[in-house]
Amino acid sequence: MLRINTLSSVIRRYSIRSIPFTKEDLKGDDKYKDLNDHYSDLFTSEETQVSSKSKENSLSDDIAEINAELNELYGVESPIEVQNVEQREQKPQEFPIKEQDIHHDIQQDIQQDTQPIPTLKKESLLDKIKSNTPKIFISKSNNPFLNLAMEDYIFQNTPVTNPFKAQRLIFYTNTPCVVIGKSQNPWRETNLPYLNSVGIPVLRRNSGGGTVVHDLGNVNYSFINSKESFSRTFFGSVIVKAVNKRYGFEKLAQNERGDIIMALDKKKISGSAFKVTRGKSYHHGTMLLNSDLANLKQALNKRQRTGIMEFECRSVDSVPSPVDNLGLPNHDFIEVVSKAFQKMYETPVEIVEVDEFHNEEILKIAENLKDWKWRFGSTGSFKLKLNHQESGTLIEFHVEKGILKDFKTNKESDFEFLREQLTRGLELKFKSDEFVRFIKGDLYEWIGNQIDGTH
Amino acid sequence: MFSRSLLRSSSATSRLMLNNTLKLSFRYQSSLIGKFNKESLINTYSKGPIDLRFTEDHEYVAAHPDQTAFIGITKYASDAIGDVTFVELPEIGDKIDQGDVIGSIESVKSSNDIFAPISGEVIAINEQLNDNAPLVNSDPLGDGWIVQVKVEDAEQLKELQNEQEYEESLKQDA
Repeated sequence: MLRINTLSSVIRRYSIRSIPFTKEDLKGDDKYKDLNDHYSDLFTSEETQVSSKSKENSLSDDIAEINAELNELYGVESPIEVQNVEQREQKPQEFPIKEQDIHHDIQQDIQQDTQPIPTLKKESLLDKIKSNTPKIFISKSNNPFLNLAMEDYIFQNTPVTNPFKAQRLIFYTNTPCVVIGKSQNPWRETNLPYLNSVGIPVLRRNSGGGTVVHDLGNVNYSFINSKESFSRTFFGSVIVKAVNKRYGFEKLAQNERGDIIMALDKKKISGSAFKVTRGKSYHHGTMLLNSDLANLKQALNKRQRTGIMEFECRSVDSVPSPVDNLGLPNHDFIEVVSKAFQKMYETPVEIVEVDEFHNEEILKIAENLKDWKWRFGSTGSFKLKLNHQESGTLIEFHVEKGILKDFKTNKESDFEFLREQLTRGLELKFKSDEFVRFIKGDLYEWIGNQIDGTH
Repeated sequence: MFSRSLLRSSSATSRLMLNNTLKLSFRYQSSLIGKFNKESLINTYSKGPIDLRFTEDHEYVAAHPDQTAFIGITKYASDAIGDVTFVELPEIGDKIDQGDVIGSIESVKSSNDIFAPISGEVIAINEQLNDNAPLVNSDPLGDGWIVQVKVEDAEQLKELQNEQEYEESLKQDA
């Protein structure tokens, strides 16, 4: 537990440094104030305070501290993850994943492989997205809201022609976050009390499927193609072939569902989801390379709820699978898959670094993505039954669009104030900081802890 | 709204990637449109006659004499998308414009947009789908209808394909 928290706080500190988009950058631009405040809020509070405090001490002190903790806990010296971190710290030019380098490497490789890439200097991001040739986009941001917004923006603006020529491959890496499928219930699919306690946000995406966890050791890919060419398995097979070629043996395989798995022990290393709309479609997925799997497990842990907590809802279920890391460095994976993508087309494939996150449209999409009404409020109606065994209290909450509509309990007297609020027509979000204070006695705390721990 | 390519095998799609014009044949023993369920509300709602129309997005519109119409997806589309797990419905009272995204159907990790085939106002949604989303697969032209709308412009209906035209377009693609 100590180890997880400490390591993830280190990851968070990195991520703060790599967010290219800070409140300071846009100072004086009122238009973006709310959004920026949100991002600041999201990544500040405790984490940033820690970050600024430790800025001068440099990260090496933290690492020494972690090593000491690990020694104490496991009797090991400088485990690999920490060694890597240390090396990176000592050689700042190699850290973090330097998108410029990736860009450079891939461009070089491609230039070696094929014709030179046309240099289109004055094109805006939108011009590039609207151009009718295959392209690769690599995000320079690690902010999950901005990256999901960028992906949507690219998808929306990709031109549809017959035949379709604007295939897109997008890569982005996010700071720790949990991403649920479009038709899922975040209360049921994620461990909200844990996520809130460590400051990991929950996002809802536009594609279907189940819940995934992102962090800096995970690379997200997104393959946009025509609706006619939509396939749940095609791009996975491209990745499997490319990675296997790189390793020189069958490291990866696809299972019958099209998921990418380790060939040897069948553990899943990539979660996929899809979107199909008029004329176009995408297949996007996670790729676990060097992710914090303990955090992943904890984020999705439904807290041994049997007998205590029960959901009645019709939203889409996640299918839990044993997972593993591929172990390839992020930039190697991006390079390997980019080359494979590039080889699928006869025309040269430009690689575009995306750093235009001040784009009004992207910010608008990001704003919607962070809206509580979308993330939580668009959940289909559900009932949550809680059983506090010690006091023999049973309670059943009825939630519609994220709003507490009604409840039933065998201890009505403890809940009379809450009943009063609902009778008065008060709109209470199903967040413990919104309503558990209306519950009498000690029970409020237990209920708050079960729901999300925000009270 | 959905294409037959959803059913392609992965090796077929790899080939397809390099040659977008390649089409795989698609064999149907029964009607491509599916069976119009006469027992269901989309038929029994009025005494008729019903004007049944289709779109290129593989949706149908079953219009009744009172200028209301039931909208759903065809058997062809529901077979193509696979097992439906969730249907996102619009709300009663929503004004919809032809071509708008009015909801989505989730099947096997894919979210598939539903488009408004005509303009109008949503007057009913198929609440049964909340509890039984697979009705879209088992009875698309029947109990698996999605919304009922008040038709705004009857001319829009006439511009949609009739049964023969739709069936013909599917055969041509096949």
